[in-house]
Amino acid sequence: MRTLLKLCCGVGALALASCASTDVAPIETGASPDVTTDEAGLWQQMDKYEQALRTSALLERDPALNAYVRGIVCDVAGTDYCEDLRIYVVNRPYFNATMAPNGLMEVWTGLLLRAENEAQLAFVLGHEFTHYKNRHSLKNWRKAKNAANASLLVSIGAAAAGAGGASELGSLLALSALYGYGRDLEREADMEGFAYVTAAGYDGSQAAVLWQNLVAEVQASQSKRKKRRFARSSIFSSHPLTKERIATLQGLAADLSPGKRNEQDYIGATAPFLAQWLDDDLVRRDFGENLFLINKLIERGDMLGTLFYAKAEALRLRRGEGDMVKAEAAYLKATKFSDAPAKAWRALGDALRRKGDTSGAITAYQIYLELNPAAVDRLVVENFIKTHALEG
Amino acid sequence: MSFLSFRACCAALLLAFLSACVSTQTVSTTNDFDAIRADAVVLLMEPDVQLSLLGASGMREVRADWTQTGKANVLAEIEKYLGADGHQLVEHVLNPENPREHQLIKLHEAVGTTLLYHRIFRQPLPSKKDKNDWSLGPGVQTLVGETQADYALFLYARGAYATAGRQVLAIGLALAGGGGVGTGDQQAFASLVDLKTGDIVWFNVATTGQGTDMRKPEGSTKLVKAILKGFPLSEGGK
Repeated sequence: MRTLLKLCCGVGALALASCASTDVAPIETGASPDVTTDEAGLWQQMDKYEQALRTSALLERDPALNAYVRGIVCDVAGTDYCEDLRIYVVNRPYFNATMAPNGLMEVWTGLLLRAENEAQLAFVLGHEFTHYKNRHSLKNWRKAKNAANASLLVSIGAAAAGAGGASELGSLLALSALYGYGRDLEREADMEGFAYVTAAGYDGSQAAVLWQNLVAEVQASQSKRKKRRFARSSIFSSHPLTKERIATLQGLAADLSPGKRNEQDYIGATAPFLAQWLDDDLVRRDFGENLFLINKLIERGDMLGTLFYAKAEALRLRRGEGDMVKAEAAYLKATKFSDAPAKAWRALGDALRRKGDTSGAITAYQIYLELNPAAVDRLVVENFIKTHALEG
Repeated sequence: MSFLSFRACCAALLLAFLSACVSTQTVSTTNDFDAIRADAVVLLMEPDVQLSLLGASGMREVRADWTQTGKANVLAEIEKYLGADGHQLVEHVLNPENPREHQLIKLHEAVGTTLLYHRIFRQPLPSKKDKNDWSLGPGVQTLVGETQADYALFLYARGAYATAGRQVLAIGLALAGGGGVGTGDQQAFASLVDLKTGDIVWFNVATTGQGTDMRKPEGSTKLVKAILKGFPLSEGGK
C-alpha cells in the first residue's frame, strides 16, 4: 500500500512535470514544426498517410474538380495559407471533410453531393481550415496525453486507497473531458470558419442551411437508431449537437447582409460527377436518406434523367411493398430526358420483362444497344431479343 | 535484506535481463534460386523506421527526430557491416513522386508481417507447409533501374522508448507486486529480395529490449548485427 502511494507520487510528479500545454498560438504561413517536437511526430505520421492517400483508388483525380475545390479553399483561407494546404477530393459517400496538422485536407464526395452551392461548401472548408490554422490536432493530442496521465494517476490512487472501481471512473471522467474539449474546438472552428467565409464574401446564412438539410436527411433515415443518436447529445459526442450549431450559425448570420452563393457555378462544376456520386450514395443502403437526397435534387429541376434513374435504382433495391411498380415508373420517366444513362433503358427493359411485357422490353433493349453499342452484356441482350422476337 | 529491497533487486535484475535480451529468427526461401554471385549488387532500400516515446499511460508519441536518427544510424551500420564483406551496395532513397516505390515498401510490410505471424509466431498456414515461398512478386523489377541491382534489402523497424514517468511506474508496480508494464522495445525485420522474381530469399526478425537503442550508434550496431545474422551474402553468416 505504501509503495503504491509512493508510486502515485512518483508518477504524478513526473507526469505533471511533462504536462503538455494546450495553449498554442495559430500556425504561421509557411511554417513547419521543429523536428524535436511532438507536433513534428504528428506531421510525420500524416505525411506517411498522405503518401498512401496519393496512391489510393478512392482519390478523385479529375483536375477540373480539384482545381475548383482548391479555388474555394484559397478564397476562404487566403492565398498565403493556401500554399501550405494540399486538398484531396476523396470518393466516399459520407458528409465529411477532414483536416490534418500537416496541411492535408480531405473533401469527401458525400459532402460535395449534399452542398447546394459554393457558400455551403465554403463554410465547411473554412471550418476545416480553422482546425489547421489553430493547430487543433496538436491541442487534441496533448489534451489526450494529459487526460491519459491523469486517468492513470486516479487509477493508481484508487488502487492505493483500496477502491479498485474508482479507477474505471477515472478513465471515464478523463475521456468525457477529452470529448468536451473536442466539442469546444469544433465550436471554435464553426465560429472562425464562419468569419473567414463571410469575409470572403459568401452568404453566411448558408452555413445553417447546410446543417438544416442534414437534419432533414437524417429524419428521413430508415434507421431509428441513427435518428436517435443524431438528436441526442452525450458526454462522448465528438461534435456539438447539430441543433445548437444551427442556432449559433443563424445568430451569426442574422445581422449580416447576404453575400454570394454561386449556385450555378457549383451545379456546373459538380454536374459531371452527379451520376457517380448518386451511385456511391446507394452503397450506404439507407434508402430513406438516399431517396430524400434524390428527391431534393429533383426539385432543382435539372439532370432529371440521371436523377430519376438513381431514384428508380433506390426503389428497386429497397424492394418494399409496391416499390417495383414505382421503380418502373421512375425508369420510364428517366428515359424521357436526354441525360438519362444508357443503362436506364436496360433497367426499363428488365422491369417490363419482369411483368411480362416482352415487346416493350425488346424495344427498350434495342434502344439500350443503340446508345451503348460496346455494352459488356451485348450478347446476352441480343440473345433475348432474338429468342423472343421469334416467339412473337 | 528486507523484503522490499529483495523485490527491488528482482525488478532490477529483470530489467537488466530484458535489456540484454536480443532474439532473432531467420527464414530462408525454399524456392529455387541461383546462388548469389560474389559481385552481386544489393540495393539498400530506405528503411521504414518509426520511433516513439512511450508515455506513463502507455500512449505512444511518434518522434520525428528519433526516427530520422534511427534511420540514419541503421543504414550506416548496414553499409559498414555488409560493406566489410565486399558487397556492392547502392543506397536507394525513396522518390516521393513515385507511388510504385511506396507501394513496394507497404507490400514488404504486409508480406513481412504475414510471414512473421504465420511462420515465426506459429500460426501455420496449410498452404505453406514445409515451404517458404514468400514473394513480393516480379513487380519489384521496377527497382532495378540503372543500378542493375540483383537484390534489394528491405528493413522495417519500430521502437518505443519509455519516459521517466513510465520507468518509475514500471519499477514501482514491480515493487508493489504488480507487473506487465512494458518500458519500450524494438522490433525489426529485414528481407533480402531477388529483384528478378521478387522472392524473399532470406528473412530475419529481431526483437530487442531497452539496452539496444537504435537512436545511439552502439545500439544500432547491436541491432544491425542481430538483424543481419545469417545474411546469405556473408560467408556463413556472422
